[in-house]
Amino acid sequence: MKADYIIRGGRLFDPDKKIDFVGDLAVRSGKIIKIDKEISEDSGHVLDASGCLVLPGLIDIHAHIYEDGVWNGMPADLAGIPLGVTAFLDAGSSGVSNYRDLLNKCRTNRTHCRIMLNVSACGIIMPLQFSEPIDPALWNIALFDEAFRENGEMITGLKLRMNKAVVKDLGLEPLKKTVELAERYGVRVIVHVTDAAVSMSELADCLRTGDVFCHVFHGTGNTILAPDGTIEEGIMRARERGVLFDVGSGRGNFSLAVAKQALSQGFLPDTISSDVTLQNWNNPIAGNLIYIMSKFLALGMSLEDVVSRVTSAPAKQFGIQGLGTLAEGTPADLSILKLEDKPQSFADKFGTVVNGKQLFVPKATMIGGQLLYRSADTQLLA
Amino acid sequence: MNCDLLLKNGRLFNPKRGIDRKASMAVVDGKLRFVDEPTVAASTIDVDNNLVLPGLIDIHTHLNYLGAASGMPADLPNIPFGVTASLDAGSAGVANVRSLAKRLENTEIKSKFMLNVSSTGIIMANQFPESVDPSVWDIGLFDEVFAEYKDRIPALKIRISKNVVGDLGLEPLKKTLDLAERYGVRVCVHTTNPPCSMSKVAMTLRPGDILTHMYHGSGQTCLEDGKVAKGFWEARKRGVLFDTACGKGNLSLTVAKEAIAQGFLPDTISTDLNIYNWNHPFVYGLPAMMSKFVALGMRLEDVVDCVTEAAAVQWGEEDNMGCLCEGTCADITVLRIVERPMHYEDKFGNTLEGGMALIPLLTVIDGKVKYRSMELHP
Repeated sequence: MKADYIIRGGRLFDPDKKIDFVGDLAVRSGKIIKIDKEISEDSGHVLDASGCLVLPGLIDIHAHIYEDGVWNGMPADLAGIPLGVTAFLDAGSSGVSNYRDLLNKCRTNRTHCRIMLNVSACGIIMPLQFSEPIDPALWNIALFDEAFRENGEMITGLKLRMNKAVVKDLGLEPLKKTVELAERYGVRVIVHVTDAAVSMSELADCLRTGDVFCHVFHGTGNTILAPDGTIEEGIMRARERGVLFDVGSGRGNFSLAVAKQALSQGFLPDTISSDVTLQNWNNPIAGNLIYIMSKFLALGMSLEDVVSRVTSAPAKQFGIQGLGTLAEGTPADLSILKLEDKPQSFADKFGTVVNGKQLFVPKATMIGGQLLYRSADTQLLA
Repeated sequence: MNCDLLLKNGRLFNPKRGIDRKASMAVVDGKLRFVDEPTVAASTIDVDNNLVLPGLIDIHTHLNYLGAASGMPADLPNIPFGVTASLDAGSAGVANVRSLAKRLENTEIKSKFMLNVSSTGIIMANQFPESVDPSVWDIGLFDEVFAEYKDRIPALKIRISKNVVGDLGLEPLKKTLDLAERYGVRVCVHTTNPPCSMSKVAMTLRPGDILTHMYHGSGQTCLEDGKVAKGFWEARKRGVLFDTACGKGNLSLTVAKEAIAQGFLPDTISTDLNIYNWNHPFVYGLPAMMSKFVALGMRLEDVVDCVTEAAAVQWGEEDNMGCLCEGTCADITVLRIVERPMHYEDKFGNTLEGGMALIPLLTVIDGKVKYRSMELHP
């Protein structure tokens, strides 16, 4: 039983499955076929992962990857693969008028891609110039029906931005109508909550189990913190109900102060995501998914908690079976990272700085058993 | 001065132009600017005394992703490895070249393609060779393709390995040269296991044509009685160009070492990158290939020239690409030199030891940062 690849000597780490040991991982025909302390079978290639973490492929559930179709669209493969990301969920870059173009791009990417459909027909096409119209009075339900009938397997949910500039005087109506529409197709709602006209609790109260509240630690307008610094009651109620809280940090949708305060009260995010766009990709404030992971280590989260929030937890929202784990028999999506001891200052747009001691550095990325990135100092033996 | 991007604390390295100095490099409106005065930059990256090179140009790759068995996505194996322009070496012919052209429209990297004289291009070479019999060529279709894509096709490509040409010998190559005259383009000829001596192949070519896989080790090689073929020296004098296109199987370390020791260096260094050899230890990427040629006895200056200045000539934009000149396009590659033992092998079982690796840190295309290693994170 010859393997295509053996990943040798790394720390295999999948906290959700309680996998944590230094050993080998064998890949054949696109699948993880074996994990063990030592695997001595023949292999086409051996990749030396000693000193590295071998993680399930990282899943970034808030990204903007509609390259060339919206002004901030980032090429998915380039944004993710050299940085350890193996799956991207586009967070509503497109709507019923243009989503098929995005899907065509998604289908030729090496990265696994799924999308959330914006309730606005144009998606988030040029938000710095004008907000996407989200008035439900404009919606053509037949087009939504067609989208979910023809491409439902690619669409994980409906996206809506609820900031003042988008909602104008429509209040909570667009969100309520979006939730109704999501019921019709049995999908999630994901809501962007920065600079909202209402409190975070009021928004969270509208959400159902499994819906996603994104940019949870933003610092613009009303935040999740009550005036006394505690987490708002409505947010706690929503968490109890099973509403999911995602980071979607980006350049502007993340406050280190809010995050620090929330984490100190034990309010951890359900998922960590990047909100990567063409403009913030590799930006010093936004960084990229693994840079944001390093930032959460600096904020005091444990390695285990950080890793589960970019692997097993987002896998549940992604809709492809078997992602986000190192279990035998699942797709060989792997993110091989080194956690280097390196002092690092993390800043946000509000001028807050948090100092960390460690930085994740990408070493190799595999999707479906194909090695798609390998750093120059990572050895591969023929 | 105001600029869009400032790379500070670099070692600007463009040996052909006599540039090797510690300095900053600025970008304004997608063009290079040298900086002497204090500069206000929209974005500044401290490149920490690493090599700042003109963007690397790989003139032999296979980019017909999903359109041919060996096609590699254009951006992924290149941009994170410092390559800013990639030339497809005849993956497609008149039957399928439009699909390739359209696909390459959607990439971040700069690309061009050679047109294969076979209508199918190199579509499944490990199962069957493409037909190169000139008697089936439809010149009308070639005319159409050149009318549409002339500025993107710097050369016609043909493979003349014995299994491709069968009993046609050098006839398909000669007809390809005629066709190239018609369109005013180069010919690039793949030469492994040739139907005649390598001397004869080289002597058949015109000034500016490209003999690729120059150091291959299959059948008759460039070494004739242990010496670099006379025809190679004579062809070089006439201006025929010699390219490496190493691939997994098209480079013999022994042949290359001997030829380089005798002073026959390549004009260009390229990878022959495709989906099967990318990431393979024999190939990996263009910077790894550059380190390998240093190990084979070349000076770093010459190696850099082979993937920048000289490659830009074949690309057809030597006035705008491949150099660090005021006002030329801001394609920039930053590499770190790491001194460490390197071990190379080829498919013939030859081995080679080297002492340095080139690590890609930053890739800029037309002034836009397309790859930035975590090492350069602020």
